[in-house]
Amino acid sequence: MREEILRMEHILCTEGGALNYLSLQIFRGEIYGILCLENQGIDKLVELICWNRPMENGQVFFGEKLVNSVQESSGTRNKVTVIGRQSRLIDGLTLADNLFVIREGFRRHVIPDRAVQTETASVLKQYGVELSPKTRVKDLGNYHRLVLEVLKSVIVGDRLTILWEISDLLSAEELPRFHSLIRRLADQGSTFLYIYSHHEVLRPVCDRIAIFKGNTIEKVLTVQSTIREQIQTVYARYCYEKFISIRKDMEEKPRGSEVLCLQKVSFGNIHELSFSITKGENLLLFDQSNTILDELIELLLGRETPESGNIYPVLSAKTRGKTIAVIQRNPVSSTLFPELSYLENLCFPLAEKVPYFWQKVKFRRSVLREYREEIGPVINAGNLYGLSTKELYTLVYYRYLISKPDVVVCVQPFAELDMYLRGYVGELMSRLHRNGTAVLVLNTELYDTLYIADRLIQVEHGRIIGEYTRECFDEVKLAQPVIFPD
Amino acid sequence: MNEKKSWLGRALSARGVQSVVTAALGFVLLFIIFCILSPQFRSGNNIQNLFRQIAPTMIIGIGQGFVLITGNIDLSIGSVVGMACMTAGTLMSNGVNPWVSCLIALVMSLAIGLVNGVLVAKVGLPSFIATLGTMTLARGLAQLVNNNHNTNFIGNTAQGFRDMLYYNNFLGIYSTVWIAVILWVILWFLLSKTRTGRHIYAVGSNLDAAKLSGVNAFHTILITYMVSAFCSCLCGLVLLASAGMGTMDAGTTYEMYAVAACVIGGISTLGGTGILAGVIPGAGIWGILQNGLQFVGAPVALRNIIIGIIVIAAVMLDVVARTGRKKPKAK
Repeated sequence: MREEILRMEHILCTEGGALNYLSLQIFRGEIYGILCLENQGIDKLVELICWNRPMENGQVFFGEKLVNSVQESSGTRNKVTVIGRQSRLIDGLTLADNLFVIREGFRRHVIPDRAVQTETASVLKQYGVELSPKTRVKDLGNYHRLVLEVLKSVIVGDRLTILWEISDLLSAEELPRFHSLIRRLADQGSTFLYIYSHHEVLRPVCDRIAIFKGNTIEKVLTVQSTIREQIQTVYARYCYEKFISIRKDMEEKPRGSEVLCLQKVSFGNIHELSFSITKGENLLLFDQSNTILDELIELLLGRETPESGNIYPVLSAKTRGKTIAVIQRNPVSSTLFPELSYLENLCFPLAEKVPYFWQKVKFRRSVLREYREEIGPVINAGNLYGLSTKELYTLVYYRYLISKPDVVVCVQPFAELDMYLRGYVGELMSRLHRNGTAVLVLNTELYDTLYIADRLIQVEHGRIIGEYTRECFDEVKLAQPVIFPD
Repeated sequence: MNEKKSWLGRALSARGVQSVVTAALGFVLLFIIFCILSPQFRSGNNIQNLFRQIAPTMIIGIGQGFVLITGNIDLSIGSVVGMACMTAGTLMSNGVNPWVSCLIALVMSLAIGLVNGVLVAKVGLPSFIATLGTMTLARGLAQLVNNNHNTNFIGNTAQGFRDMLYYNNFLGIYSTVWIAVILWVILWFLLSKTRTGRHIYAVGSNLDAAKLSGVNAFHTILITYMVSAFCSCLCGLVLLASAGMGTMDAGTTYEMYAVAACVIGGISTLGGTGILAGVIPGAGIWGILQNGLQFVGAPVALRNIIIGIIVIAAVMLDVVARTGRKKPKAK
């Protein structure tokens, strides 16, 4: 009989995220996927798996013991690691310290440095990680950080590891390597709960996949052979249809003149990168080894100058900042000011372009008049606290709809979004397109972004290895079995 | 990945060593410059005195270093120095056994450390504000213990205390220096070879990650403030032994000396990095500038300006090193 790690029965929570009679059962050695059609409630689910906190109905068994119920919630923490949203690694310390010293259960006061390093080296070797135990965590890339977090969870003896939206952090090359590592660990008895919103990522690695929607698990797909068809039925309804309609709208708009051109640009990991983008075009730059995005943004914003090659038009950093806007990954936390009003946030990029914008009320009134109907009553919000993710994303994209830069660079625009919101963000991007703005999407994966792109540039280790127009996108899918397993 | 490096390469790439080497080179350079500029500076007596002058800064620098590594700051150091000096001085001048007086001063100092630790780690006050409050509090206590007067001479019964902390000379080095060295060795061991030391770095580097990894952040931060209070008390007692009387303004602006010694020695004010070895050249540079500039006839104002500039430059270097992105080289 299989050992049960986690069982949640009829969980009901109406506060703090809400769960609606959710049931879930995970066994030892299993990789259990949760495909999020809607993210609402997922935070609460993770919280209740980690902490035995009060709920309004149901019970939670961890390691076959009742740990939480309506009658008694101890508030204690279960032996669970959550990887993805928050790191447990200490950047300034070495791998050896992170794996063996900074953890619960390390009781020795004086650290036996050599023994710890030998132990670390042996663990790293066992799992094929070619790093020195003395390497500091701050020198590691995303892939190695995630591997280290997973190994740490195994070493500290946590019984369940939750992988939460981690795949956005990995490149198309790294993802299969990471999956083979967790499969190996699962075969050795580790248990994983893999939460993500792309079935293409979950399907090849998960034993079972639960569909999370409406604050509960709607369905659990168990038979591998039929998972694909079952998911695609749901998926098409939620996402593909949306993207297909967006695509149709976009095709009606004619292209304009060239607004940005890179000619044989080299800088850091970027080698002789050449491409151009025209007004109203949606260009996808797919960095499949995840090495150049940060450097490319610095170059585009004029904060760095290329070691060789040219970027046209030649502009100063200040002017470039006005003509090229960057919407970073997770823009809600990186670009908005929660204490300022919705309207102030909305006008921020525009104020950089229009002199004396903040001094003259008529400008703000004019924006308010023009966009009140489109955005809705939320435009009057005094601050951003309490607004929904959808409203915040509307704000992020409308800032550039109003300020009309020549190019908007969207970095991993669908990261950490559920299926519903991905469709909505796609729609916002199409509005930029209708506005005549060139959209350059920088991504390390192809899901969804490929549906709305006009052109694709494929980059590997800083070099262009392929350029495809929309008509050739099927070729790309065939060449990327990891991303498009169908 | 596991490329072989020479022992020198390994040593230099170890955490924080480069800053220490830079500070040490700065110390040697200043030493040579002042030796050339002033014959009195290079006299044997002055060299001995110079090291004795550096020792108190080094002691408080060690304490401040512990706090800075956790990403906090202790502004109460100078006032605790004054409070320890006045408390022990008052008791000794009233005939209380010197060692009992030291013990009482130590208990009072540790109490301030405890309050700092609780306010910062438990109550959640910003360390700057919390220790600013206890700075004033401790200075008030320093004034209160002897009714707002400096103490009288602490008496001949305290001569053993004075010799032990200040006047004894062993192998040509004054006891104050030996005390600083012993303290440094003990606390270096605590910081670099023990679990507590790793927890201190972890809390300074990423508090949330440290908590998630089971580190008791309250306990760790409390320890650092207690260490800082202990060092301040020791420094206060050294000042008492040196002057033979308690003065109410003892330790004034010492918190600045402590921060300067740390920052010059590569301990980051942003937390998580730096090693205790940095405090030695850090305090050395501070002391050598004070001493050397005096011998070359620089006025006090100029001395302060130069030292201030050096501190700002050191902090700027630290911030640039922390936040500045190295331009990656094309392969």
